[in-house]
Amino acid sequence: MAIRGDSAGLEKHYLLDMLGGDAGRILEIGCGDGRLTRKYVETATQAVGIDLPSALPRDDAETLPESTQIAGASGVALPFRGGSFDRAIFSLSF
Amino acid sequence: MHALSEVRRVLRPGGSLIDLRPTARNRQVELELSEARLHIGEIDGSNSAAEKLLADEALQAGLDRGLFTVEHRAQFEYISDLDTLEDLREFAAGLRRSVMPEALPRRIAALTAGEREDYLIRIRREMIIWRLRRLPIG
Repeated sequence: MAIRGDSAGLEKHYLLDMLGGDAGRILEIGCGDGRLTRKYVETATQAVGIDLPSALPRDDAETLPESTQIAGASGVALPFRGGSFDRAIFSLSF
Repeated sequence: MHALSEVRRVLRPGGSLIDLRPTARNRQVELELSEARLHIGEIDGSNSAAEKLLADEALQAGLDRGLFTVEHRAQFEYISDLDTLEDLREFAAGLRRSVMPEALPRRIAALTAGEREDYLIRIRREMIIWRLRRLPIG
């Protein structure tokens, strides 16, 4: 039994296409458990993901690469200096 | 809108925002059999329609204010493949706002009766992705 998300690989394809190669420092707003993060992290110099604390990965969640930083924060008050990132990713799910 | 201003603030000049979101179309549920592909029904996402509209309006407001400009836009399908009805129920249990009508698993059960194993449940969700370039203000 299995649920295979993005089985055609289209989300990853379009995400990487939009980011372009060598995407630099990437901020992901609403990273959740890192589902999307794992798809692009190899293209990033550094990936930083934020989400509300209740949505962040659990201790038993699949680990993310060491280059990834995860923080609990709100998207309307980002705890970063201006001009800190080359790319930002914002994904909505309903 | 404030969130977009914050994103713009932390991006370097010329940086890009990748925005990924579902369209308003409901998730479509299909049953793939060895001999046919059947459309079973839809998962109702109307509970989040207002929230989605607000999010779309916020994005448009950011574009109208000159915070970002659209560099590229694409639409695609996010496809989830499930092996069994139990997988489908697990998938439905994980939905935050959308609702799967009970008729959908009942119909699949009827079509796959007799311990049939050569089937696949496929869920299609229409997605839109934008690349938006940060613009200088003023």
